[in-house]
Amino acid sequence: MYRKRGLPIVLALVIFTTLFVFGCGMEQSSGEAEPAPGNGAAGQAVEQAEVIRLSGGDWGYPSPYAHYPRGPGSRKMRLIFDTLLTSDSEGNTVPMLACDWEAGADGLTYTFKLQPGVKWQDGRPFTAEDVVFSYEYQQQYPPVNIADFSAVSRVEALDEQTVLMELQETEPFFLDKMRSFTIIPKHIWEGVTDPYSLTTPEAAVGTGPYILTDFSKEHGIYGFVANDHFWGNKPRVKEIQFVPVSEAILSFEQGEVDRIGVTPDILSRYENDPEYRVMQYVTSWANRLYFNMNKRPELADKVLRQAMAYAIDRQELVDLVERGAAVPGNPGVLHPISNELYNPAVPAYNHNLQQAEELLDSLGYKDTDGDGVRENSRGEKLKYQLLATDARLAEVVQMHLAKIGIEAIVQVTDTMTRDARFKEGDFELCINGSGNGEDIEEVTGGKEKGRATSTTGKTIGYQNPELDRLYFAQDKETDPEKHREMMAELQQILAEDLPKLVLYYTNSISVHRPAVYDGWSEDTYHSDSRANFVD
Amino acid sequence: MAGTYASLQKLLKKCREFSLLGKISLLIILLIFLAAVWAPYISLHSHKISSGPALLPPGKGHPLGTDDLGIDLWAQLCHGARISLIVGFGTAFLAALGGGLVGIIAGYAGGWVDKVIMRLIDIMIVLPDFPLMIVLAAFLGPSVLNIIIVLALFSWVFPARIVRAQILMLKEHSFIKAAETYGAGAWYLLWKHFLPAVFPLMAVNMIRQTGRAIVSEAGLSFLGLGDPTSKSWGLIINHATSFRGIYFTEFWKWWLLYPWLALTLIVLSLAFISRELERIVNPRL
Repeated sequence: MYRKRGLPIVLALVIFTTLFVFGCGMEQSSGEAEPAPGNGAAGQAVEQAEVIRLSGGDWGYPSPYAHYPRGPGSRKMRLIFDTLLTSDSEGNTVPMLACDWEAGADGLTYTFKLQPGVKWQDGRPFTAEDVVFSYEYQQQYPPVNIADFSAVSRVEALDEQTVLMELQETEPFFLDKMRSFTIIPKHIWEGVTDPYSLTTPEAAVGTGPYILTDFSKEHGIYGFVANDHFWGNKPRVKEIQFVPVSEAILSFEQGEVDRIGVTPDILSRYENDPEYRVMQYVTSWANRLYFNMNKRPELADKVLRQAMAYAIDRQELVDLVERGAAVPGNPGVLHPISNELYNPAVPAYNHNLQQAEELLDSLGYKDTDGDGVRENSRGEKLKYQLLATDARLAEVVQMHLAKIGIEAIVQVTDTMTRDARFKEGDFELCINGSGNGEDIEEVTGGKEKGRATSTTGKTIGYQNPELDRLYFAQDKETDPEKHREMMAELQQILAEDLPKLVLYYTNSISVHRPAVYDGWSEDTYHSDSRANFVD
Repeated sequence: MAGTYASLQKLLKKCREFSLLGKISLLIILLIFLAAVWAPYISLHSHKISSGPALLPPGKGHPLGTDDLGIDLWAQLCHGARISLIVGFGTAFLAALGGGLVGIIAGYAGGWVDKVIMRLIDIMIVLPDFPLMIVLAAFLGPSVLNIIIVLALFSWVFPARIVRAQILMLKEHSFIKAAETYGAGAWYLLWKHFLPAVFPLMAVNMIRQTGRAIVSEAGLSFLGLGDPTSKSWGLIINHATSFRGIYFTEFWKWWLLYPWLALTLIVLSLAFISRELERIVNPRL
């Protein structure tokens, strides 16, 4: 049960470094103590809820190095660790550990003023030395979510509270990239040479609003208490517990957990009941179909991929697999509803079996031996292994492809196995899903930042210099109108080439009891996100 | 060989001595067997391709309703019966054959051979079989054949022990001793005397193993270790129970209930038949 629940969750923070325009709100701007949006009762922000219980699961030790490269792992780490900067719900860069900053006139130097009076959770003071150390240490040992330091040439502490960063070249979105720069304590990590396996309590000492009190890998338990010495606003919940849950709905109704995700089928149980409150989100969490063009060279022909796009009825996937709670995928990758840069003019590949079959015919794939599977002139069959975690989703895709004479042999594994095989390129076709549903960088030939992640694998064997040029140009474009045009053109290329096919973006439906806690954020659908507990 | 046939015929004749419960059980197994054999003809729709709206309650066109992908449940159950029966009888046959041979060798050869085999059997009995099956099934990869092999690997010990005990008793009989003095070889004794004598016991045991194998297959499939797109009963139950919130909808009333009912019926029937046979073959028990 949990494996399925765990899947549709995001690595939201990675988005910050790549596509700033989609930045999810994590932190309200500090300073004012106003209640979070979606806060039902006034005054809730002042009053602290005692304990919030959420469904657990093993996502690794919540240090910047030991958590799993999936959203739930990152978000638990973010309860403990702060970044240099962060973003608000509109996607603007706002202060976090740096309270103020100044860019040099040439755009090559940045001076950051740090929050005064910040203490590490073990009582030691936080200084500029920690920031310098974090940069140097992370260059040597990249954490799971690493900031893009490619433009940085030098980091120096000017005094206890001031940090200077020098760049090699101007970088218009440099500050946005510092949103994922996790600051770690020098006095703890200095002597550590294998940070990836350090899972003792000192590895979870940060400057953040919550202190890790309990962790059990085997049971998937995490316990957090509010950090009384937190430098920012007082956390709104005293204690957050992640507990093992076997039947989510039953646990919720018995009060064992305080918020769950539900499907449209059981929504009616909660919708008109004042005891409950339903919150619905349109998300960019997407399931995508990937093609391994190195292992199966014929997949490099975009016409074959287009034929598959015509054959796979994405609306039916939404109806059957997600029970209607999803948005059919845009071949141009961006979310058609929630992304304002969406280009509606791209080819839509509406379900059309005839078109698909004509494309396959034009490539010379014919079913000559009458077994229902097409083959080329050399008798090589269109038969692929399809790696997935969701057996039902894979089965529908298999059914759709079978209709045009492509055989998919479904292999179902758990998330960790699928992720590992995806990263290594050990697949022919693969369905992978993550919150980076709108990620374009993964299909470019750009150099990888830090460690490859399991959720945004490099699409294997695809290369288009024009797409690469356009992608990296828009990444540096500051004029909004030009940026929009470039993104529109990018979507056109993506939809034309289909280096990956977005199957659908999920919608998230959550239910909670307002009487227990009503501070759940409307900006993020993740119940374990920091935005739910700290302003 | 002729002796084996004769004892098989005797066994079939004994079926007439069955109680009512035994006869009903036999009928149910027969019906399931027929459903499996004629699956493509008696199922109105495909068991692999959706043939209607998703989660349709039982009614016209779909006698047992449809699952979440709109695939007819009755067709899935009929085809699932094939997998259950193949796995059940395949495992039982392999286990009885292997276990029977091992038992005969141990019992007849005696000495250190017997000792080694008996200790091996002791080890196999102590091992918790289901967790090991999970590991082996995961290691070998999902397929019906692998499941049969894995299940058979853990099922041969009981037939082996029973057969060995029988052989130990048999070989002291004077007619065996007499045959030996006239120069009968091990092979001759095996076919002429040992197999016919132990066959009824092995048959009873095989039926018991069949039930066990069907449940184990369902268990392994339920845990996701079967072929993910096959339509075994265990897998249908797996898909139904992993449908989020199924108990809070009415879908379980057909999607979960019918495969469970089929599984329960076949296992209960096999258990009753094995009890009846045991009563007839081995009246002292």
